[in-house]
Amino acid sequence: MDQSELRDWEARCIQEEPPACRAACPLHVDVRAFMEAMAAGKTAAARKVLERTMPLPGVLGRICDHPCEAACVRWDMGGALAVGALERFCVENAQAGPKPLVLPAKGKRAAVLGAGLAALTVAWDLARKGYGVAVHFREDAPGGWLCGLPESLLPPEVLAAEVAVLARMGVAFAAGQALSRDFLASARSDCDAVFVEYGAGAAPDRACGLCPASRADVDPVTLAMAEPGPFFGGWPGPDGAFSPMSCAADGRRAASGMDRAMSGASLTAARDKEGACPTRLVVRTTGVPAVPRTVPADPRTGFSPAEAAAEASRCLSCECLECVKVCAYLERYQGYPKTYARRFYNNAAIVKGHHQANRMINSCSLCGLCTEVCPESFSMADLCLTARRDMVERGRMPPSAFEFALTDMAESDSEACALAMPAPGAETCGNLFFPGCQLAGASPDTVGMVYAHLRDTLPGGVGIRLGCCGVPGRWAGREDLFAASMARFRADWERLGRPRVVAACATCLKTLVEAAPDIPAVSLWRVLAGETGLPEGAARAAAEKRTLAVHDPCASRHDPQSQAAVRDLLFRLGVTVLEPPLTGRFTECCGYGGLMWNADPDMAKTVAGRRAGSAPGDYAVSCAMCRDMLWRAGNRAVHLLDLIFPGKGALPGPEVSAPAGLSARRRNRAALRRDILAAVFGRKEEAMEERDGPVVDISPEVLALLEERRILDVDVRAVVARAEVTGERFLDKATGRYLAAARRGNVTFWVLYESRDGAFTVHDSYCHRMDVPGASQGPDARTDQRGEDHP
Amino acid sequence: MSMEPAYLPDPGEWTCGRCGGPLVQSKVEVTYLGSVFAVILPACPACGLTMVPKSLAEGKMAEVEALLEDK
Amino acid sequence: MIPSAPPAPFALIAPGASPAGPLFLRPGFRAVAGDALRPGGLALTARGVGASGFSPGDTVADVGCGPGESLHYLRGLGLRAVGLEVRLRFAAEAAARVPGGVVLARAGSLPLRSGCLDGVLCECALSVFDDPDAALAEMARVLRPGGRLVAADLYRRDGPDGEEASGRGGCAAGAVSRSELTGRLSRGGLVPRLFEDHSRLLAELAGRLVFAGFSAADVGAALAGRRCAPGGSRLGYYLCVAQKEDA
Repeated sequence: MDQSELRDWEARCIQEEPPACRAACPLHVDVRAFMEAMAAGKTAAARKVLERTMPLPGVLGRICDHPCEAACVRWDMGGALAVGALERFCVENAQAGPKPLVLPAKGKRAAVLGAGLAALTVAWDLARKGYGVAVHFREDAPGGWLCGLPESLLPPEVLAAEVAVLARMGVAFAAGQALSRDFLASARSDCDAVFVEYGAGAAPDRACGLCPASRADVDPVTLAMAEPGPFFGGWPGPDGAFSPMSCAADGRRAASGMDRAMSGASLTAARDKEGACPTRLVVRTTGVPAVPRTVPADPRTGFSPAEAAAEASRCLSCECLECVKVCAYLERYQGYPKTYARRFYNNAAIVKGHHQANRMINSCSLCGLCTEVCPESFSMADLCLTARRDMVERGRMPPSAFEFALTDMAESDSEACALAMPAPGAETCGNLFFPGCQLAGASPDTVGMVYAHLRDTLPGGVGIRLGCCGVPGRWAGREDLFAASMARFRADWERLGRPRVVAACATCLKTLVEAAPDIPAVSLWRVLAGETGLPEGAARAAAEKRTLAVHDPCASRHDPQSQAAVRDLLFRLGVTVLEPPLTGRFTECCGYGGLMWNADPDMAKTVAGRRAGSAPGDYAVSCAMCRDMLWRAGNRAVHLLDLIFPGKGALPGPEVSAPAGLSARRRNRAALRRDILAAVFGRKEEAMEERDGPVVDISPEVLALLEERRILDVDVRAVVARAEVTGERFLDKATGRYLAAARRGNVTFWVLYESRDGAFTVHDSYCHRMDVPGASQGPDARTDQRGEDHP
Repeated sequence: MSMEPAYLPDPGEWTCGRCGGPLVQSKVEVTYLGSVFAVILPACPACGLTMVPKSLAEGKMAEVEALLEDK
Repeated sequence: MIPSAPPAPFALIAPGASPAGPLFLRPGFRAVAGDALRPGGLALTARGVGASGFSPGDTVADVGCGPGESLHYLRGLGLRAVGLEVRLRFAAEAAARVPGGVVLARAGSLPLRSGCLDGVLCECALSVFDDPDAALAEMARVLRPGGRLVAADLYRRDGPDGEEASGRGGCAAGAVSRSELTGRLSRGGLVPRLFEDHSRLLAELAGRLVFAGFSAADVGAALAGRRCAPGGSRLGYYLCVAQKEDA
């Protein structure tokens, strides 16, 4: 990712865009922060917010004509916030802050002709930047039209106090000056920049004085007429009245131009954020109750403190964070996509506690929900995948992040488990059933039944392909592994006569459609719903008349037809379908996607728990991994295929049993290949693993514990077998138990077991990646390989 | 001048299953991702078989692995 | 604190009781990190010194010299080296190793003439000075035009936008991003000639500390000065050689 790509990413996320009020304010007062402080009764803190951007805050806070109110998002939910009245309350009740900081003198001088609000704003801004400022005016005291305001609105002492602050900032005031053309000419030659306020030097024959009569006469960006010339500002509105904000805005813009002129910078570059500007921030207001504006009990005195706080509490605190609201993963890292893009670019990696730095990049589920809810369609999935590929390219991908899943994928594609067969008795097939690696592992019997049903009902011959679609490679940033997997798929497809692929897994389908658009592919659900119909056994499920919530797998997000087919099937199975709050296009991931469960198991648990928690009932799912994740989170999820193809049990209807564990899945895939070859194609194959080693007994409770640690029964058996052959093991005389180790691939496995009459019982197992010499010695220490070698 | 950290076996009367004798604390150099650390682990003085207790594997060792993977 | 014989039965080194303060002041840290008190030890010092091309007879100051391991090493290379250290305990240790070669002084006010040194060494110290800018200015001042500063220290790998400032008291209290560092150097008239990332050494030191009994959370917190929030920035370690511009 280069700098300009980063800018593109950052620009997409609108979280830092100003709320409508701030954008509409020519001075960009932080109205949101102001309201937050006011709502909490912290008037002093609120005043500090105003003082950050307002010139002459005591004056402007009282007379501000609040253009922000017209932009307030709450306008149709009870009325805009009474910003003006609250500003007034604030500056009347909170003490002024200290004199603003003044930068060291720059040695340049500016002359200001006129002393109204625009002129005083110029003086304020330039003095703060370290310029010498002298304000020249005709009257006895500064203020211009401010002096004409009613005392109830602007007490004279308030104006005087702000003028005094200006003086303390180093501004010089010269009263009683006749502002003639000559005066202006000498000011221009003596000083480095000049501001001429509307009305300065006005005389009976020169109504507007030295300043052009209308703002249309000057350049709207610079407020000057010609370079180098004076800067102008402070015009009244079309009705002849002076708008405080407009005058202050003119003053600020003119001062900015004068600052640029005096420091030799461009007068026009990068000025689009000056003054009121549009904002891209979008705020969702569905469900926000309309609360009417607070009206002061006594209109003469204005708000009471309680009323002010109540009115300020109506502020919606506009911000986006739409994606964070729907995603536990984005919530955890306490930022939002714009900050995440910046961090990923800087290879910053988020430190959570002390380590787990690259975990954020690796644990996004890539489900795409954030993209759906984002007004600008920011895609965390694209960002994270880019970052993962980048890490792999630079050799910085932590080995442990995805290793288990990649090993799993290699297993699925290994000789023992993979299969690509045409229709029985033929060389090719019109349809190719592709159950996917997880379903094959989790429900091998069901896969057999589905295949049989398809063979019975689809014309043109149905073949079968067992193996992985390769998406774990893509998710892990390993485009090389993914490409190899896809190449294998394509080779099988060509050999089998270019059939239509019938995919049981939404992720497989999505992957094929994206990576091999020329390979025709369709979901199993659409085939069952629209072509083959349901098998007879499905009637049993239909008799049960369940109510289930439907959980769409995140990969089906943009496949409404498959989602509809699932619902159609459920309906035909007599199921009353409930929709969870986030469903269809807005479905949530179960925690398996993107290999989140591998890179950050805790995060996956949280995500699954959140999905299970929002379920209006038990889920009906169409993906084996969704079932696994949701089941572990406490939801008794039912797979659609278990309803359509109920088991052979004596019980009526399908048994809802716990999903198969990791070890079982590995064995199941190999067994499935052998069973299909034998039952459908009449080819017998020897089971390879049964020849291995001694009888090792692992109780289901212990096995579940081990699988949490990603330790499989094959790993454990290999350790025990080796220990028994070599004698390399420790003995605990107190219990008679043995402790032995073997290194398989990048991991050393330790097993605690006992031996009785030639049978072995495993009590515990743990592992580590660090290489410890002496932990398992001997030349055969590395021969038990756990799948292929992955760096 | 630095001292290597020493780790005891987890509770039990541990002996070498092959040689039959008790274990002693031995200095071992463990490696991961190209970095080397000296630690003291229980080992058989006769055959050199070295033990990594579960508490160490799942504790400090896992933490150090994560630290290294991070950088 | 360091026993002379191998421990029996065991001697897990416990971290210091007080949770606050920089790592290098805690009991137990020295035993693990060695006298070098910093990632990379003398090997990294040698690399930096080698890259700067000092010759025997050159005058070099070790600012923040600690117990004096590098100072001793510099002397061994034939350099006319002086150590400056503000902590009395460390200065005394260094003086014992290199008699007459250590001065008690603050980095922000070096008791040395301007332009009198061929080189300055500053290892794992810049980020703990009260005023790193003043320290750098001083180091630039005492270097002759063309002289070299060898600096090795913690830095923030987030880049200039790293939002979280460290809490007070940690090792990384003053750690800044690379770009801020180069900015600081150039304000002092120092031009970077070499910048290498050695964050792996930091991880290894952290790993040794963890094995020694410090909790990984403590190590991270001590480095950063407070418990790192999920939004915190990542620390790294750098070696930099910068040259003072000719007048």
